[in-house]
Amino acid sequence: MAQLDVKNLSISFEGLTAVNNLTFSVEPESIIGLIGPNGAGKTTVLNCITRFYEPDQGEIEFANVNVLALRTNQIIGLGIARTFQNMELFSGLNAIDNILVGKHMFLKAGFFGSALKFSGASKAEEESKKEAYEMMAFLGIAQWAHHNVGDLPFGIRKMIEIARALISKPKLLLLDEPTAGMMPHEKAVLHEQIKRLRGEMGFSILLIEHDISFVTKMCQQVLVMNFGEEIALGPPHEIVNHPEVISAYIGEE
Amino acid sequence: MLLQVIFSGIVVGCLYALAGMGLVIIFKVSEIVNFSQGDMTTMVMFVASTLLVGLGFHYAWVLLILVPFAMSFALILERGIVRHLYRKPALDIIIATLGIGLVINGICGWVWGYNIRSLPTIVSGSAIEFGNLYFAKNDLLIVAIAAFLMIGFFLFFEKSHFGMIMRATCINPESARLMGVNVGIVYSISWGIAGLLSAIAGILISPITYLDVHSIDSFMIKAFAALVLGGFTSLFGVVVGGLVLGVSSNLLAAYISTELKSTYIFLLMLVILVIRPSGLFGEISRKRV
Amino acid sequence: MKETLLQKTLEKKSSSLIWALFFAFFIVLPNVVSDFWTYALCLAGIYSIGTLGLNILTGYTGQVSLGHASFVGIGAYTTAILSHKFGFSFWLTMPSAILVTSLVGFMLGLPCLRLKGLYLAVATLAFAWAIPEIILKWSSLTGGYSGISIEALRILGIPLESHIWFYYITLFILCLVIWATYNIVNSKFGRAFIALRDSEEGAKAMGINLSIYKTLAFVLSSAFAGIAGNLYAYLVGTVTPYDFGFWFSIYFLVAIIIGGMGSIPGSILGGAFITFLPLLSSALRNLPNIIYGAMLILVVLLLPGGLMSFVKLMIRKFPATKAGS
Repeated sequence: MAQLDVKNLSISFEGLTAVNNLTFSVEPESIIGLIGPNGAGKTTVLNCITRFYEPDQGEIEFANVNVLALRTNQIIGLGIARTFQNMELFSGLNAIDNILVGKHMFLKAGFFGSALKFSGASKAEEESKKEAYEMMAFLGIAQWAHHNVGDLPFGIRKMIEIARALISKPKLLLLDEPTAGMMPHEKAVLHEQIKRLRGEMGFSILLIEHDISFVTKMCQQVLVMNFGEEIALGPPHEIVNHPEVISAYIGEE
Repeated sequence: MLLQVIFSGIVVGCLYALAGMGLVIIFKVSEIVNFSQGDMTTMVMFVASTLLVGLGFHYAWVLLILVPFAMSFALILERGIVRHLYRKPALDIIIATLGIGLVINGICGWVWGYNIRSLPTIVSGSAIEFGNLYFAKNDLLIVAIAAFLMIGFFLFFEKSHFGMIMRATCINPESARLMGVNVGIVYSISWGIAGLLSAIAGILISPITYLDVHSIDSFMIKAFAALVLGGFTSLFGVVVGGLVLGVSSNLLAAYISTELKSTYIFLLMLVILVIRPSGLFGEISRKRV
Repeated sequence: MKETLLQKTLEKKSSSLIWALFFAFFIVLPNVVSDFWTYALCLAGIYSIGTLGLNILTGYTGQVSLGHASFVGIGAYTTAILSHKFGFSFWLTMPSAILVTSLVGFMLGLPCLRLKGLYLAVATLAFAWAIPEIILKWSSLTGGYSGISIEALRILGIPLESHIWFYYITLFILCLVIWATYNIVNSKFGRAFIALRDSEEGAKAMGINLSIYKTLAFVLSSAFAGIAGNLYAYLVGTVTPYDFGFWFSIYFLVAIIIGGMGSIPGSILGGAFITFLPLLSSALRNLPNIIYGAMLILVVLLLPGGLMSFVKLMIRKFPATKAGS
């Protein structure tokens, strides 16, 4: 059972508290939305989970493993994959190679095997390429496999980043504002694609989002943060009517 | 004996500091390391040699011609090429300044050839004795000029209006621009000052060693070492760095082995870069390198 | 536009034909040019091997190095010392050169792990300076100023008279190196190098251990430099400390910039360029530096992809020249 448990997470930067005593869980196969005004600390939470930041206090456990004992590059091996607010794609690689980087940890090929094209390494490479291509086909973006990612439209790049995160077959997918910059029809497509992928692969999702209707459609539970603290937790229809949530957002405007 | 070694270490340290000061001023203002500084200095030295030896001018006249020449040359480089580099990634800037250095180096070889030259010392005559220490007049001049420049720059940056403007631009070019500072001119002036420093450094260095297209190289590496030691952004730091480098490597050479000098400098640089990249007195660069 | 089977077959056959002609050209070449040019071609091959190494470190992995020639020098001196003082044969000096340079590359790579951009450049600059002086001062081993001379390469006990056989050996090794580089670049290792260059955050999140891959890039580039150094020692016949100084390191950088960073054919182009330009302009010693410098400035200001991007642009405009790409 791959469950994410965050307990009493606190972190501050140069005296400014970013996250204060946050506790929540993401159960297996669930979809949790994480919303809140800008600066509420949402991405910071993600960065603590994925070990880009070192929390001052608290515990994070995933599948009974102490996440805080791991390094940043060990998180994906644990089964947690993420996307970034800034979409950290590799501009020098084409689409399919970007996705293949997601499989890096799980591609069984040694250095000399790769350099001298031993059959084991070559086979692993071929299989991974097939997997990546199949995933692109599943998402309907296979025709761009060999295009340089810099040339591709915004929406396609987003899908590539998600595909890159999913090719490692994670148990938990962390999405940081996936619909930012998208048109409504693109968001509908994204919703569909994530639903389909989840149907096939069965991962849980922690989703940071600003688009409340997207959150309402996708998530079973929503955690609302403001000033680094939890201000509400519940199903979407409760959250949208929650007085503190509303005032937090109005305060932002 | 020990004091003599230390004194000569101070002298050579001042030269390293002079060579490094030009690097610091440009970097402080625009976060560019001018890899062509050494070649600029070489060109200045060649011009000096033509004026001194070829045409027989007196050092005073040479200085009078050299300083505006070097400053204009540096300004032309900045306005012509460097001005386009400010927003580029680090690697591009490194390559472009290396490219400038290569071109200058090639031009020097073309105009002045590849034979070794030497230049007469600025002040000659017997050394001044003090106890059992000898202070060569030329050495004293070097220390005096370095000290003078240090104090001059301190006064300029800390006390003068334009110095304050330059410091503001270093800290935050955007805010400075919003306040009406012509940032472009500040950048140009920093190169002009670097040109001035290369002229002075060149005149002081060249009599001590021979002159050819590559002779400045070993000096420049020590200037870089002084820069690393003192901190890329600190004028005071590069002077301290140069002095520490000069004295310590002289002591090493005198008492342990002359063979290990370059190894020592390399290891020192590496250690500082890894442990404390901001050096003794520098600030950590805010921009992502 | 759908291609018919016939068109596809013709295109494949024509690109194979072009490759075949390409190879045939290089195999016949030394027999039709003078020994001087054969020597030059050997040197170009050697410089290309070195450039391919720097390309892995700086082009693909994004770690700027101003000290590449020092590794070539270490490889050359290792070869010279083992051959001249201990009578090792080529079959022993080559792997030894690779081993020694890889080890030194590893040792330099470790402290450089935390350095980026400018700081890395300055650290490798210091290395570029230190190595020739260390070689010079360690004169008991390295012969100091006068260096070491190496006896001509012996294959099966027979010393090579003309440079033609040396050319074939160099060509063979160059092809091997190109093949290995191509395989590495198109494997998870190459992708990891590029990923860490383009986005360290993304690379870490995808499981790439940055320290391991940066170190690997250093070791690989040094190993290639070691191969180049070994061949250089046999070709040129003597090694002296300042043959492998800071300026030579800059020329390797020139080679990858002009040829195009992150491009295998670009590295060959660059390696050939830095070999032939000085040879063709030997009467004008200063010309190469001026041209290199001008080209570096122009590339940075106008053409970030180097000559290769220009070449690719031409290929795209004239598809008839597109051969098996």
